[in-house]
Amino acid sequence: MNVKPVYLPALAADRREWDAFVTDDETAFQKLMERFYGALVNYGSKYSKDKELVKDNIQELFIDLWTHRHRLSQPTSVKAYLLTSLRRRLVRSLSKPYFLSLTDQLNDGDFYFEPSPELILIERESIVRKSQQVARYLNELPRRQREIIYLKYYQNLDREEIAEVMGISHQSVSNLLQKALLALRRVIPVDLTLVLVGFLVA
Amino acid sequence: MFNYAYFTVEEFLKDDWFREWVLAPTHQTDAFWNEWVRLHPEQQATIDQARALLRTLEMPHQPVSNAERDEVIRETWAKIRQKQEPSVRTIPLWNWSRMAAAVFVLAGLGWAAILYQNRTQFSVLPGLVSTQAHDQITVTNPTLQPLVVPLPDGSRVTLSPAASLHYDKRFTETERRTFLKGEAFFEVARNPARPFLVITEKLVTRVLGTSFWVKAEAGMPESRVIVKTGKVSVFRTRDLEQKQAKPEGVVLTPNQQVALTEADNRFAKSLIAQPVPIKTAGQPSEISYAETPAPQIFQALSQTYGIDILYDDELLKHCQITATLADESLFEKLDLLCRSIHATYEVIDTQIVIYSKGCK
Repeated sequence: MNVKPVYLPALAADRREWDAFVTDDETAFQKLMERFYGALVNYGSKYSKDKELVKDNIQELFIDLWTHRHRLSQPTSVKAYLLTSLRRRLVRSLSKPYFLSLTDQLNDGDFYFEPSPELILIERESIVRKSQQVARYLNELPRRQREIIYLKYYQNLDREEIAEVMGISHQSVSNLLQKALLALRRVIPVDLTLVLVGFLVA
Repeated sequence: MFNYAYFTVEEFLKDDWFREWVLAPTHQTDAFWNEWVRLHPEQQATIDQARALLRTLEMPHQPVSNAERDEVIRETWAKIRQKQEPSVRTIPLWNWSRMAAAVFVLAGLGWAAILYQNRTQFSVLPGLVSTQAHDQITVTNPTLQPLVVPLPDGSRVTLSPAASLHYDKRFTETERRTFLKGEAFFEVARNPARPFLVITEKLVTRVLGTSFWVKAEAGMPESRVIVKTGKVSVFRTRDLEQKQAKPEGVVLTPNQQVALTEADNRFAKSLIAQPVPIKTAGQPSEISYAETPAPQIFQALSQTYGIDILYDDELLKHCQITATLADESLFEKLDLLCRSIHATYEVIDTQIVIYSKGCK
């Protein structure tokens, strides 16, 4: 018997706050910024290693949202909308020659999996080992497939949201997931296959 | 009802409560999950798998701290507010002698007029900035020239030599507080929602958005506030410190001043020595009157300077004046007008009273 705290369905809460925000509610906007800042930083870091650039772009995104709030319509998924907007901005600012010459190169986002350094410190060895194994397999997938896995399991997006962020159809999302699965089956040992199969087809 | 006992790896991965524990553990989630795993050893393997996957998917990244997030959001709001109120009242330099600043706060008499007339040149020089604590900023002007200091809300402060300004980079949610020693000229970005406060040793000048002078030399026996344009309220620094809900103070409108002397600690409100027109745009520099009833002229003057002029309408309506008023001062104009109708005038507090026996 487990008692789990009651969570409001995330999407419903997002939408409610979005509605309040577009009608000038500063508290609602504050909440939205707090909720998505982490996800945006993480997603942005896939496109640029320059953390300040990512932060600046997130800030500009927030400022523009507030400035143009009266003209915004309700997105199906607030999170997918924000991630997509951030990616567009990053690609745009990275393609400016000014940035190219400095620190960063325009890339399509490198969705490489790797256990985070702190994991090695805090987790049991068996978990660390498994984690490293999984990372190796995942990193052998083509970039698009890695991205889809990232969006689905790290950012917890559903199929519709992934389609929106990646700018592809629902069918393509399913196909990409299937492909990722097939590729993995060929390379990974049995005990992990079972886990990953369940985890990718969901 | 959730039953984690039958959860698969996949289900754990999608569970918010589980994700929160793995990705951003708190005391609460730690306590719950450690206890749960202890009671369900048969699920240990599944939990480990899910954990490993989730940790992997996290990928290398700098963990985002709440402090960093809050800092970015605070900055975002500051920029939004700055964008909303970019309209610093800018006054063309060449025209400053006529329509400049709004308020002088000063310690000691007579300074204002002198400074006011002499302040034609200033420069933007690097000031002596010493950041004391986190976001606490103190700027001191070590030069012999005025120093322009831009504030984060879009306001600008021109510090006179030796003056120093202290403020919090973010101000506060509800107020923009600055602390001044010495003399400075303020151009405040208008924001009625967040009043701008200039706090000196004895006086607080509170404005919603305007431009004004503040002069507060420490240790001088008298503090003074002079308003040229805009509307400000002035009260004692003591009352602010004691968080007085309704501090005793005065509201000043253009061309008014208030003095607070150490001797009697009272606010004395009066007109400034040389009132300036509050509106100059669109007004002809020269106005000619031909046999015009005196009340009409006084009324026009009253509006031009934003000063109450009191007179007996019945007595004065038969007094006709023919005159040309140009760039004389207000009091020169009054002298001229009164002489022509054998009247006299007196300044009482912030009002001008015309005495006349009437005209036949």
